[in-house]
Amino acid sequence: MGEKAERLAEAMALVSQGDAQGFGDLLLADNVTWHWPGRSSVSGEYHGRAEVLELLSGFHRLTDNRLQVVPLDLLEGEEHLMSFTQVTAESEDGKLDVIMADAMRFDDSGRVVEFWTLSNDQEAVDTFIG
Amino acid sequence: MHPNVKRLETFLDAYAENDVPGIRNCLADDAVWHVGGTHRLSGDYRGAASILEYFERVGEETGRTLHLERLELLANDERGAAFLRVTGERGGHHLDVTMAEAFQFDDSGRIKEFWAHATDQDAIDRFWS
Repeated sequence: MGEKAERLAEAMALVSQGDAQGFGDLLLADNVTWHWPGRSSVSGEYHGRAEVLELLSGFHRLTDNRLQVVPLDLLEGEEHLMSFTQVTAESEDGKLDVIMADAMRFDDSGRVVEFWTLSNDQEAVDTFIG
Repeated sequence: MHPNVKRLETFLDAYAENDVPGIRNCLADDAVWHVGGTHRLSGDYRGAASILEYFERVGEETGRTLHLERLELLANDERGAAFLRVTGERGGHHLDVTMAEAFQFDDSGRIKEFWAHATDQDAIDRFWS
């Protein structure tokens, strides 16, 4: 596992402990931009660590621990990283079952400056989030 | 270099040269191409023939000006990632965005699924409007 993957794993561990601020401080550059595709209530661009943490907090409230996330693959390069996960959930609208590809670009200090949240079924994700 | 990185390079080379048989050879028969956004070409293209038609339409509408500059290509046995700077011209519109693209490969290394998102999806939607 390379440095970027290690930092991501550490940051995700902080999130799972409820430490979103720690996640942001460890992983996100001050000038991070987060691109969330689709037409849901959270779709759009978020600039800076504070906006991104607000996005993640809102997403967490919306999904209310209903997501099961299974890691599939992690691809790490010189500047970029892509993490593939299978995300499933039960909802009133049916079952969500998609593959997410979280794409990241890192700066020289090893923090994420650009983050894309990619899904192979964006419509299903939009419906789930609402 | 992982063989599937080489396969991504082969696919991008064929795309750049509009080498249709070369592109076809990189696609699984039942490949699915998810094109995001809210523009005329957005949607899911299922099957190699449908995907090739989509590429042909993109090529025609842009006068073959679409250029995919490779920033970084990553892959293992099952999945791949391409980070690309995409530029092009269409009807007076200029496009210049960075794309993060995700790929899944079948057992023979052919692309069976693709999906992507841009640094500026609105710019892409405007480009195709």
